Amino acid sequence: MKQDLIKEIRNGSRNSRFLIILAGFFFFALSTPVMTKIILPQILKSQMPGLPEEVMKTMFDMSQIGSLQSYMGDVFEIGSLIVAFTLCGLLAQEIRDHVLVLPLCAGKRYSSIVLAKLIVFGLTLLLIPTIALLASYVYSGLLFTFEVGVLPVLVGGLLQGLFMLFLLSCLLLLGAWMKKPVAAGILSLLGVYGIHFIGGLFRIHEYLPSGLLVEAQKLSETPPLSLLWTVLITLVLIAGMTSLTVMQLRHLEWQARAN
Amino acid sequence: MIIVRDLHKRFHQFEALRGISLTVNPGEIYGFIGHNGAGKTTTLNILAGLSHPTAGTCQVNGRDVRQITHPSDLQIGYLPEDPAFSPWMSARETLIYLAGSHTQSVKAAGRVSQLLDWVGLTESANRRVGGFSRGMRQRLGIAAALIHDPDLLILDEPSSALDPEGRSDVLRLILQLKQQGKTVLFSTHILSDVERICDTVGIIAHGVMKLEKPMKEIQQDYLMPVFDIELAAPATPELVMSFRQDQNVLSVDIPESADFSHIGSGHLVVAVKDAPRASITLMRLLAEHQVPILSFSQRNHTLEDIFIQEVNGHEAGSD
Repeated sequence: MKQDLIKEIRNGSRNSRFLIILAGFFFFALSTPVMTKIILPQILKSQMPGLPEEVMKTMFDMSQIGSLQSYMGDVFEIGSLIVAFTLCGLLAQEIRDHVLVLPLCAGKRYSSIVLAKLIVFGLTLLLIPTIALLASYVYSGLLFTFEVGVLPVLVGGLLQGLFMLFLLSCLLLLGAWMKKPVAAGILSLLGVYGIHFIGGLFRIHEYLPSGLLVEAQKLSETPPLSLLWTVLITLVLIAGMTSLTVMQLRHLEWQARAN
Repeated sequence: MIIVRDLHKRFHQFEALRGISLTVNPGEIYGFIGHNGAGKTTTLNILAGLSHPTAGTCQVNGRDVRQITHPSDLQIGYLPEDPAFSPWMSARETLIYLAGSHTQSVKAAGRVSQLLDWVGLTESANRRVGGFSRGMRQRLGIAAALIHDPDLLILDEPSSALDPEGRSDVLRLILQLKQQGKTVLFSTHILSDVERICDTVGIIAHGVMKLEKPMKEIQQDYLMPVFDIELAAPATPELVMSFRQDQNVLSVDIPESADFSHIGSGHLVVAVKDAPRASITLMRLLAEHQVPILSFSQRNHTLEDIFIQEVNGHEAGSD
C-alpha cells in the first residue's frame, strides 16, 4: 500500500494535477473578495451612473459573508468542473492504456490501487478547498471586516472537501465502468449537478451530498444535527461507490493487447 | 507447469479459441506460434489470469485459472505484447513500485538494481519511461515480469517489433532464464526465434492447436529435403497436380510471399522423400508443362515450411 500511495503522490505532482486543482481553487478564493469589493461595484457604477451606494448594497451582499458565499457558489459550479476534468483519467486512463496489467500480475490488489487514489486525491480535495476557503476568509476579512469566526469557515471548507471526495468516488466508479476519461468526467458532473438540482427541487438536501454545500454556505456557528445525517449518507455513498469500483475492476477482462 | 485442455474463448459471436490443448513442462522453453489473430494473445491472457475462459480446463502452477480471485494468485511472471507503464515514472521507480511491500524495501531495491543491470537498463534507470524506445520498454517489461523471481514466465511476443539486435538480446535473456531453471512460454510469429531457442513448439491457427511437439521430434519427423522452385509465371493447377501425383513428393505448398518482387511469379515449395530422384522428376515435369524456371534450389525443411503446411492444411480442411 505504501508504494501505491507514493505512486499516486508522484502521479499528482508530476502530471500537475495537484497544481491545477490548487491554482483553480485559489484563483476563485482570492479573486472573489476583490470582485465583490472593487470590480463589481465599479462595473455597476459604469453601467448605471448615479446609482446610490445604498441601492447597490441591496443588489448584492457586499460583506465578508457575501464574498465567502459567492466563492462557495463558484466552488460548486466551476470547482467541480476543474476537479472532474483534472481527475477523470485517474483510473479510466490507466485501464484504457493497459497500465494496470503489470501491477496486477506483480501482485497489486484492486483495493490497494483504488484506495491509494482515493486517499491521496481525497486528502488533496479535503485540504485544498479548506485552505482556499481559509485564504478567502482572511483576504475578504482584510478587505471588508471579519464578520464570522474561523471555525464555521473551517467546517465549511471541510464540507466542501467532502463533497469533492464524493465527486472523486463518482469519477473512479464511472472511470472503471466506462473506461473513457472524458465520458466519466461528464457523467460524474451531470450526477453531482443533478443531485444538487433534485435536492433543491424536493427540498431534500439534508439527505443528499449536495446538503454539504448548502450547509457550508450558511457558515453557521452551530451546524444543525441533520448535518450529521448528510455527512453519514455521503460517507456511506463514498464507501459504496469505492466497493463497486473494486468489484468492477475484479470483473474486467484485462486484454493486455495494445489496441 | 501449464496444462490446458479443450480451452474455448468466445467474444460475443466470435469464437477466438476452439478447443486449445497444450502442456508446458517444467524447465523448458515453449514456443507458441501462430499468425496474427490466431488466438495467441487470447490464450496467454487466460493463462496469466487476466481473462476468463468460456470453457475448458486450464491449470497454471497447479492452480485452476477459473478458481483464482486475482492474477497474482498464479505466481507467474507475465510480459504483455506491448508492455504499458506509467510514463511519468522512471524505470527504477516502476520496478520498486511493482516490487511492492515496504517491509522488504532493502531487498526489493537490491533486486531492482540487479534486474536493471541484467536487462541492460542501468544507465537509463532514472529516466522517465515515457521517453523509452519500444525495445527499452520490452526489456523493462521482462524485468517487471521477473520482479518476484517466478519459476514460470509467460511472454507475449517478446521479440516482435524489435530491431535484430534487440531481438537477439531478448532471446539471449530467455536462454539465460532457462539456464536459471525457469520455465518460459512465449508466443511469436518469428519462426527463426523459435528454432533457435525452443524445446517444444505449439502451432495455433484460427483458434485451433495444429501441432504440439518437442523441437527434436519436429526436426526428426519433418526434416526432409525441400525444393524451392521459382517460376517466371504463376504455377498452373495442372503442374501442381502433376507434382502431387509423384510418389517422391510429400507436399506442395504455394507460400504467400511478402516480397513484392514475387508478384506475378510462381513460388513452389516441394517437400520430397528422395532428393536426387525427385530433382530429376520435378525437372522433367516442369519441362513437360513448358514452364520457364527462374531458380531451382534444394534445402532442408524449416519450421516456416512446417508452419505453412500445418496452417494451409487447416485452411484446406476447413474449406
